[in-house]
Amino acid sequence: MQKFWIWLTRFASPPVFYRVAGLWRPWLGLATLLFGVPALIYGLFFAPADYLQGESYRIIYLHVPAAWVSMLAYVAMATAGAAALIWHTKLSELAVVSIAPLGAGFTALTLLTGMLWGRPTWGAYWVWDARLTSELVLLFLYLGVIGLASAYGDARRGARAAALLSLVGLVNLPIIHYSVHWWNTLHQGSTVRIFGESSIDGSMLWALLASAMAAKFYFAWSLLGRLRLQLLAAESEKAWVAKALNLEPADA
Amino acid sequence: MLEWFESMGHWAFISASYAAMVIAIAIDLISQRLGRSGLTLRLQQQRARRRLRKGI
Repeated sequence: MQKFWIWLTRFASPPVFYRVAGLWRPWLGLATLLFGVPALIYGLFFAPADYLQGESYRIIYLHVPAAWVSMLAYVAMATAGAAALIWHTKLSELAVVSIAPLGAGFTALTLLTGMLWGRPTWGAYWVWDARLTSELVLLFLYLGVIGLASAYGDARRGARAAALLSLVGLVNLPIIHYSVHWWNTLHQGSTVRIFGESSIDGSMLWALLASAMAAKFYFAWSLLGRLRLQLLAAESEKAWVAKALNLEPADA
Repeated sequence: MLEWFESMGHWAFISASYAAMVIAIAIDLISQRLGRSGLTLRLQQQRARRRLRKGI
């Protein structure tokens, strides 16, 4: 166990993380393309039309992966937030700041694609349904974290305040997930179930799962890119940053 | 405009969704690229000012 902590501490060192993240990024980008391109092409042109919704259901290949990542990103942000508050590590503080705009983007995409799916299916772009409203609250939470992180003169204090808000906002995640069970909503229930049979045909399911994997890989790829950038900015006076950006050392 | 869009049928909604995804990815990529070049420029200027002050 002690070895694990030593490894983790070493990994959290900015120059080590910057280098390792740089090694991982091309593979994550490649995985995004390998999963995403076939899944989206199949979902758009070759998957059979839904017996009830017709062609418009094809938005599922964007909407559901974006929705899953919007929640996964929040869990990642809150985990980094907890680490930032407990151990005060720079990397976890920067992770909170880096995840928030990405999470907000995925949430906005979820809401937008949901509206575009809602109109042909329900006859309305928006209804104040529990699932839609709780997802909108998620967007506001992300925007709150972004705003709070940049509201302080001291970036580290801002990041810790944002970390605290991210932990408080965790309460919204079970509400989003269970909203379709707790309340009588217009939004349909869970399509894919880990335990039990999924209510989607196998010919549509594989592309949905592949596009969901692609969305997760993209999130990881983009997050590492943003985190590397934040690390460079936060450690701009260090010699390793000058080397990474091909600059002359700060004290030259 | 909205009426015209809706009159195009289901494929208009599907196309708009995919277009939204492409725009979101483009914004993400451009913001990362601009962030990196902006940071490099800022640090270069910072170092140049410092050298100027020192008279190097």
